[in-house]
Amino acid sequence: MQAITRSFGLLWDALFLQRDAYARMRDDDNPFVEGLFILVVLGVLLAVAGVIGTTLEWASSPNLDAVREVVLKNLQTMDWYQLMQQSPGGESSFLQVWNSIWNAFASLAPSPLRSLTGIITRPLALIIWWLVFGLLAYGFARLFGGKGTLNQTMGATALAASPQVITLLTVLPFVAIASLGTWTLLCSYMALRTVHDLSWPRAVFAALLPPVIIGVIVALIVGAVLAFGITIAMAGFAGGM
Amino acid sequence: MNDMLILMRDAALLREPAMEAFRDRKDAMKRGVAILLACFLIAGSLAGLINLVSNVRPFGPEQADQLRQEVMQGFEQFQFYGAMDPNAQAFVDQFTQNFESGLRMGVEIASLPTTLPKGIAGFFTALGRWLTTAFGRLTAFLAYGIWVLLFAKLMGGNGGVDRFFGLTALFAVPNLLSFFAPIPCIGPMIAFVGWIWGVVVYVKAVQVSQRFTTGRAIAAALLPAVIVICAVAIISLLSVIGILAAVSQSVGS
Repeated sequence: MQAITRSFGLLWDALFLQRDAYARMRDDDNPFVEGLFILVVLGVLLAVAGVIGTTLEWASSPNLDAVREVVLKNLQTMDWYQLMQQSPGGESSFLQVWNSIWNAFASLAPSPLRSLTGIITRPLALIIWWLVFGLLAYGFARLFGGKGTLNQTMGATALAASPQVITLLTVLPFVAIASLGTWTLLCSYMALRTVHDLSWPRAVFAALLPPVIIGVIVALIVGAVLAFGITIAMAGFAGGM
Repeated sequence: MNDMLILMRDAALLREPAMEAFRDRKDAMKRGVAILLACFLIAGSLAGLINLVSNVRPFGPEQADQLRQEVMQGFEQFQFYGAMDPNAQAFVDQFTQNFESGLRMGVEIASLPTTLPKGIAGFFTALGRWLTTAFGRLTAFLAYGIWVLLFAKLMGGNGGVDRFFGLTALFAVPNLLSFFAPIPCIGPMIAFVGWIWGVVVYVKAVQVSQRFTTGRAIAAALLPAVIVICAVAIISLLSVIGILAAVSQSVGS
């Protein structure tokens, strides 16, 4: 319990960019393990908060299928819908699009069961992000003349996840905390500056380049997957013709 | 607590010694963010309360009638200025029909059962919106501040990041006036005065945190906004030119 309290004290101070917190992490006997511990605890707490918040949100909202029925019933009374029914295949095409939109919407609706998976995926996502970001940031910091070790960098960059503490508020339903990227960037900057003793422009670039590179790689992968999917769909369509 | 209130008063009155003393505190950002959140939560509380009442009250046929009357009054005002063009009248008729269907849908959806009692669900919705707005303004403050800090550093500013955000967070104090924003007519004007006053406090905070002259502080605080406005204006202008060129080409052909 004492370890958790201590870790949250560090996260709290790191959230408000207090250099002492990053220096304490840098000078820890094993910053990597300390950072990993913090991220696992934070990830599990965020997931539990998410489960509670999502369950309350689900309990406060009407059933999505019932909403869908009400909307469709009312659309069917409109003039344009009746006109569409007269054209051959008009209604079936409409219902096809309608169902696909609602199915996509249903996957975004609050679901307590789906939120349970967050207990594994949330800490895992935090850790993967941290490992990739930490390694890249260490590489850039050293490239720019940094003096810190990899172990120290990993420990301090784990504290860059401190803005996620605010998302604990999602324990309350309908609370949306977005755009924590700037705050995370500021924390990363502070971590790299403290560990590697870099000048401010170098620390800015060392903190900024890893998310840019990760973003470009993710965009390329998504683009390649989309292009592959479209090619297969087009081939299937051409074969069907 | 008393310290915080005195600091808020001094910041609103642009008292430099108090701001300098605050800049030199180790926990400046912690306190600044606490003040900012408190101010935004208080400022949003009247709107939040109104929202709470409308969320807790069931949306039934009476509320639908009230909404219908408000919208219809708007259209009647148009008709007051003279007879409508037939196309405009057709649009209004179509809109009214769709609006009626939308209202019916709204009433039916609002009457669908929920697991939690409607009152509690409405309370959660209003609470969520109130907190989301306050935290949204906090993240917007940080997102804008990072650019101001960058310009300040490029202009030779030498304040720490945490001190900068701690001090500039005090701009939220005059924004307490946006508490009155939901009051019809005079409310938005009072909120606007608070916003302008907040900008002045922000510039002063940049000046104190970076040890700048007033001119440099104004430049650093406003340059990001000016650049964004110019970029949006140029993009809009180019888009309008592009659309006009396309339209004239299609008319010509």
